[in-house]
Amino acid sequence: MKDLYKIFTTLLLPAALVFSTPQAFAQDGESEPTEETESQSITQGEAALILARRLGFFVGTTRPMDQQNAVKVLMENNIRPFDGWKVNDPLTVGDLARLLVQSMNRENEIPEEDQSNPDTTAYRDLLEREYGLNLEKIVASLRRTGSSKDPKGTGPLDDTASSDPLEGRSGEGDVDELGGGSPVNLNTPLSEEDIQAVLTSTAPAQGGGSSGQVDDDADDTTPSSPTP
Amino acid sequence: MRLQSIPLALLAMFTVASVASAQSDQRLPVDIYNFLRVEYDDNVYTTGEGVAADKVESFKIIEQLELLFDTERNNTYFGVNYSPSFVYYEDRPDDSSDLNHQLDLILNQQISRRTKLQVKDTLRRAEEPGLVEDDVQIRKNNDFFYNSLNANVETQVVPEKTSVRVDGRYAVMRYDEDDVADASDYDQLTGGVDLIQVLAPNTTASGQVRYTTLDYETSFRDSDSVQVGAAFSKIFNPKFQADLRGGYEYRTADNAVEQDSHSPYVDGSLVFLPARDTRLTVGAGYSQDKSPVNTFALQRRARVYGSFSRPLSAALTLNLTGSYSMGDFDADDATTLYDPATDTDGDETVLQFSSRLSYQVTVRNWIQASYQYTELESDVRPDSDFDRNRVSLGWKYSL
Repeated sequence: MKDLYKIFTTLLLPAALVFSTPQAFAQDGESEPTEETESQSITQGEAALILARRLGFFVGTTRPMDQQNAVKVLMENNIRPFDGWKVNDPLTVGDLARLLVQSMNRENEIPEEDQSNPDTTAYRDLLEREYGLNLEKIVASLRRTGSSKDPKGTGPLDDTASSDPLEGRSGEGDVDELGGGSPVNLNTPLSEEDIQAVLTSTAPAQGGGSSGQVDDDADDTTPSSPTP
Repeated sequence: MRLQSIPLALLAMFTVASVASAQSDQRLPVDIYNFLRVEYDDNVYTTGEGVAADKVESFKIIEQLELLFDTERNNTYFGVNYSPSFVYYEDRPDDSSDLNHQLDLILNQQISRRTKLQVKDTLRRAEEPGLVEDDVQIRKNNDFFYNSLNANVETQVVPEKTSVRVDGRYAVMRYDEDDVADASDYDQLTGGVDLIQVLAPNTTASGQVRYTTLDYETSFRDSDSVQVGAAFSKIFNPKFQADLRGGYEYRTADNAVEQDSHSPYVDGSLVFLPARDTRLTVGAGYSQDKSPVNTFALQRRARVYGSFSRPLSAALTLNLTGSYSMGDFDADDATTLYDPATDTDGDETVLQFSSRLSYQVTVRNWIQASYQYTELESDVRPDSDFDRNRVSLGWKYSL
């Protein structure tokens, strides 16, 4: 048993060191994780391809439908993230808001001082004000928020959260009691599903697209996707 | 947990996270979060002043993984959330580590255009060692296993207007130590029917019936209960939502002084979104509830709770939660174990508060600082009174 333990730890320790995640410390910008180590986030290049397709920029052209050409055609139409296109960087909520507003030809409604400010909420505000499109809510509704980890006491203090016997807390345990998960904000990286969900909620006007007006009855108060 | 298991458990968890990260270029359909934190706990055994033992304080290292998987195909959605955590105590005598597990599963199946099925399961496994001092057992081993399985089928009788939902729940609690298991293991089976009516696009009302049977290992707290009532939910505007549930409950407990009891129940909550990204929830309720001691068949409990969440900047978020409950234990609800010479009726209050600051360093890294306070004061189990403070600082990252 002792030998087995030694062999196991001998193999595990270097494996852990080799595969430990220095890329977790990667900063936004030059040293951002490459596509090879990217997890679930969609890259700007991938998002450019999706957006260019949805905007119809490849219709009637002979351009190959790839990320490079997607970025080119979007740049030609003054559609770009705050720091320009970096195809391997993850796309954030803030950048997506800017891309959508630009694709709708409404960037002139954004104050000049906000147009180059990555922390601005002006693009996001315009989408919600004019189209009822709340990007954070759409993205959050697609995420698991860890809501199952309800606050709970120590020891068997209380395992019911409601008078309804069909509902109950998740029991007891000395682990993360605060729940809530990770917040969705401007810097939250997006997945392909996020992008598709947002684009499904709006139809930006440009190229071969539709009028770009979001349905006036769009309900932004109810998540559209089931969440655990 | 034995000493040799500690590095093994830590390495195993870290390796799972690391290998998954290395494999991430294959775009596994799994989100992985790792949360490593250091915590100071001033009362690791939750001992109080009335017992013959001092509070034990300790620093802890908590390594927690969270594995999230979901998939949606045609009419089926399936999600899994598994979170093991390993806790190492710098100064807890006899047993310096715990290994806990949390598992949540959900399956949504659209059976037809009008009918859907949902199945959920919640599993918890936790270690809570006992405390023995000077050959006196202050607290017994409370290692436990808890599972709750829920299923419901909902069908639209009148499309977009009227629905009927049938629910079932089976919950079990199992303690490892025989003495504790004999007193506190239970099985709870609940069935319910809801008739749901959409009154307006943002307003629903429903009539509800619930039947619950509760069986303990030793039958002192066994009971059967029926609830009849209604629920109401309204979204007044995108910034304000309210929910209300109320009715009457009839409960039969064969081992109580008064075998039949009845009481109204009510639950209400309000959700405010006063500003962008700011959320405030408040709620209150009153109902008959399970008793934590086998000298009483039930308690009547009132509770209030609240939570607040707000980003302080683009990268900094504050979360606050709190709850207060007061249970009333009446002599009419005492069981045959109750001894007037040594036991007493009265109240039991539980206060819980937690706060957390999260700072997003990069798109994948968060620093979190948190504080939690828990207090129990009880007339019916005064030896269990305690208060506890926990402060932690941790690093969370997604792979």
